[in-house]
Amino acid sequence: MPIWPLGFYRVAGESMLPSYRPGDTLLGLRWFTPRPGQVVVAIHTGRPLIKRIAAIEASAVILHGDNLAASTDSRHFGPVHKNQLEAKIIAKI
Amino acid sequence: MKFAHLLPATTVYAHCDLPCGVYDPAQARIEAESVLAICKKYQQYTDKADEVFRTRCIIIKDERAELVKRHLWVLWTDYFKPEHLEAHPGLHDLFWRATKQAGQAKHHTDTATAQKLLDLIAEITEIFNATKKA
Repeated sequence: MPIWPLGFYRVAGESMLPSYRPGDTLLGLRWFTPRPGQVVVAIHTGRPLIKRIAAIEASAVILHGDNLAASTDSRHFGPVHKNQLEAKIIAKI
Repeated sequence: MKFAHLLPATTVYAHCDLPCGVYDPAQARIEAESVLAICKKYQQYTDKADEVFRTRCIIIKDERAELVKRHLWVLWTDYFKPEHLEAHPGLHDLFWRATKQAGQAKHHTDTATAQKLLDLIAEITEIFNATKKA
């Protein structure tokens, strides 16, 4: 578990429209339990992604972008292990 | 400038690998039409004096057939999604046959092979159009 529970994140790309726009600054909570519907930061192939949890499996989550037509997500790269989740988004600043 | 923009923040990516989102089987169809037209010309110009022309026909036909493969692969891997496969269970087999046929179009110069490639692309187009209406 990270020592500092909060982190700032800035959105690049349009797959989370209309919820979050490119350039939005978000506040993330790193101490959290994944739940469906949460918007999370996940580290996938070394890159931090922002997506929404569509479903939860035993040890993994299914991630989707809100803007499905412009999103590369679990529909393409499959489920993501829970230990790859870094934070859940709790506020837009 | 908003205060939030001054905060040190980690960039998080909300990207699509292919942001343009523009897909159309017409790209593959046009290249396949070129393959067919080239095959017709190849059969038409049989004179020895046309040897350079006939050689160019084969080179360009192979390039076009390769482009057909490329455009079909982009559609297959980037546009079509699991829900499309559920609605059209023969989709994987159709793409497999169509890309194989593009390979055959490189091996042969007869119009029947090229026409079969166009027919398979027409089947893909039909499914593509159905997914757009859904």
